Amino acid sequence: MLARGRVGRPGVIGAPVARTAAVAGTAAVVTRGVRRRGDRREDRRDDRRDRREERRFR
Amino acid sequence: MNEEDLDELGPVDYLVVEFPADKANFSGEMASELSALVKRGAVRVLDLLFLKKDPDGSVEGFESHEFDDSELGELRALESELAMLLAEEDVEAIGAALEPGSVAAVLVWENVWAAPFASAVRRSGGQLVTSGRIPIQALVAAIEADEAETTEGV
Repeated sequence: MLARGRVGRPGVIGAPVARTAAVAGTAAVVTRGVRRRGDRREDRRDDRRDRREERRFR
Repeated sequence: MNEEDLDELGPVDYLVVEFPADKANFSGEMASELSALVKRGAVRVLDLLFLKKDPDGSVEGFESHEFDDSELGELRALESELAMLLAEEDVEAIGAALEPGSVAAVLVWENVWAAPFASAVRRSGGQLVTSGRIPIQALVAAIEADEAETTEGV
């Protein structure tokens, strides 16, 4: 049973509440994909750093 | 709550998790993970409610104190801090989205970790323009597009 304090006052969530669409079996795919993107970005940053250092020592 | 506390209030989020009635287990692992987040200071639990939707579509709400310790486990310790933000109107709105014959837990929490950053932004003269959550479908689409590009580039 709901506490009396919850009755007769406006809600905070707002209606209607829409269900989040279920996407089966995606958690691992998304995690791997996002990490792979991060890794590639890191590789590009390393490449840029290497090129800068090469230029500096030329 | 004084003015300083209000300045330090982090963004408040909610989630609803639904279980078929015969598979509900609110104790154990879920409680322990949530409790760990609270102990680390990442979140503050502001409200916790349980809903039951009968096969005929009627919805009933339950407070956490209506369960015994063995059912709630570590969640019991959070009960004293609940701010009871959800109203009967919210229960009706959430209940309408639930599958008949299911039970659900509704959790409202403050992202405590974000509060100091938000305060720093305000003190620096910045103001929030928008915020939101990127849908998982959009992430999947971005990753798929990325992979298609990589494959074409080979």
